[in-house]
Amino acid sequence: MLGTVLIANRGEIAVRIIRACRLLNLKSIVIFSKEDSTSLHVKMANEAYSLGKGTVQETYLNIEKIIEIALTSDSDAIHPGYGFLSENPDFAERVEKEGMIFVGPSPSVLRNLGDKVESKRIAKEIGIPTIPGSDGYVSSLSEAEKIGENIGYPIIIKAAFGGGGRGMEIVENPEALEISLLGCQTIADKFFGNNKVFIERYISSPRHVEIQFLADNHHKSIHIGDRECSIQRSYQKIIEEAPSFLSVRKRNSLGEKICNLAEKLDYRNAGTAEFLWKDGDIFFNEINPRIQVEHPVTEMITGIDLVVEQLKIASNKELSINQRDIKFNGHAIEFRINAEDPLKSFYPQSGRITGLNIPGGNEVRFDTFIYPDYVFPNNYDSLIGKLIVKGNNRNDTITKSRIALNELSISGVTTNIALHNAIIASSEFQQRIITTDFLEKNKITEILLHYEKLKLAAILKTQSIQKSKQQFSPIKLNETSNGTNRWREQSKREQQRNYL
Amino acid sequence: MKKRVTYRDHEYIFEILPNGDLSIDGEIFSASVDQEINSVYKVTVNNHTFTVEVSSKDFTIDGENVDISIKPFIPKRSINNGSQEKKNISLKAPIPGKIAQILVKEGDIVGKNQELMILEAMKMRNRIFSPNKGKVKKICVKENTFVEQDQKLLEFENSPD
Repeated sequence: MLGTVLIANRGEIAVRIIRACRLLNLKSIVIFSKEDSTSLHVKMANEAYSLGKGTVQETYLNIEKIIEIALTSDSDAIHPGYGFLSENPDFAERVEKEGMIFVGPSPSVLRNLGDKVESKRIAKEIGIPTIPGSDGYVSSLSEAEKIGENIGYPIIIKAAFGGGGRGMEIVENPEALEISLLGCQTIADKFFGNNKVFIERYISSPRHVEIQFLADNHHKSIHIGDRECSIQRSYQKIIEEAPSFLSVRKRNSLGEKICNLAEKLDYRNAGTAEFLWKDGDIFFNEINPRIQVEHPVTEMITGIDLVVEQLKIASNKELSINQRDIKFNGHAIEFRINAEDPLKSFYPQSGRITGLNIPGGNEVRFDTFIYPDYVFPNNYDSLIGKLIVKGNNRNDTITKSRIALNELSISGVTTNIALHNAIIASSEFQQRIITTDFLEKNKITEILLHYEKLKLAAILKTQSIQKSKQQFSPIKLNETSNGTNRWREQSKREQQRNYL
Repeated sequence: MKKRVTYRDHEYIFEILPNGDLSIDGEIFSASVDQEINSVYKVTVNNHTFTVEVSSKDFTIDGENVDISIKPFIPKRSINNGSQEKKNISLKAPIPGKIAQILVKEGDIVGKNQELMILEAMKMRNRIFSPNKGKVKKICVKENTFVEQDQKLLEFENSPD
């Protein structure tokens, strides 16, 4: 077994990995930037090392510095979390070269999967349905025209190394092809350092489905069910649930194929295969070779601790779970709590947390790194916590979620909690009529604005009552000499007047 | 009497109607106070019940602290005629990040709320809009460079008409 694990990340996932280390009796080492020196992961870890002040490139993406800290702290392994260096093959290679273990797939697998065309080709070979499109990269207009004709418009041009909604151009008709191809190539070159692009059929308002899998170093792999992450804002997931809407048969057959793919790639550790679903057809999109933000929903319905499994696999242990042991129990939903203003195009917020109320109850989980008085920096991701709720079935979970979301309150920074309230109150969400363009389609911000006005009305009403009371009784409000509460008396009288 | 209220960085126009109902941005809400215990109010608005706590400086609604500021409402026209708005404005970066794209050049005449720049911070593309109709006087940053919070992005000259 490993002894010491360096966590090359921050925020809630760093805290999550520390918890897994504690369970396995591993020493946890964390790193932090100047802005994060008061963050929870720094307080919780066994040892914490400063990365100094600077940009993300100079801190959490600084391979040299992180390796140096790992070596001086005698770390045996590095867990990259998600984001930052988690999918960087050069980092994984460097970690291994220094004699440490990278908690994730091998550098060569990361390299293959980072290339969208290559990963699509491998998936196709295994018999996993992929989105119709070019077989490889497209460089000339004549090639692009031919592909467009074959698969039909609209099409989408994607940068080979793009991601996060960037480096993509939707082309509605052949006339717009030339300029879009050129535009996408330029962006690909500028942002991803490689002008390679490929073409696919554009799938409008799809649903997002994904399959979690684990593979050990001994050629054993298992699939651990599916998740649906269709509720998104600007290509970022905000609500995820497990299981998805797929039938048991479909889920198992996709899961088996993904395990074959893992076997073929010589994949190790945790991974997620992402798919797009439209009108009964499902298409492979990509593999995320790391732990994902939404992993807790799978943990909630299977009881498997995915981060603990990651660390066990990294310790070269054989998977102790068999495919037949995996049972799904109930339904789980995760709400990403972001410090952002949904009414101002999701602008990231920052500030001091002046109040925090964390919900509780049966099967309610809140993973976070904020605490009262913590000053939340705006240099990083806006994710400040994840509320995960489990119930017997989807309806039950939605009811529980409503209660938990109402209990959850964060003061000091604007969050998207009210947005979640508005989403789950919509009948479309309740009936699971959800697609990746759910927010725009159902005008959720309008519902949200209405909610805000309801709250404001409650405050203004309270204020006006309080004001009129002050006018009536200039003397001390709370108590009078005979011990009765004048304020209450006043309120009673006033209410009666309102009803008359 | 109509008033302006700022609540969670957003401004609303409200009025308490003679029958006790509230009008917020033209939408009518009927609110009633059901209970009051030690300055904690149970307020029902259109069948939703909220818990509002009053302290000397702010309000807490369902556990969350909020600040409201109320100002008299003066119709827009008289603002323009009265106090003169600042002519030159410098737009600052609301958050640290990278300038992903600059969509205008110096000397451009732009409309109100026109996209001027895209500031990228951790995967999010944040759009910087023009505050008013006017002219881009000076662009103070370059594409693909990193900016600090409150760093000046561009100088803007208002021209309301």
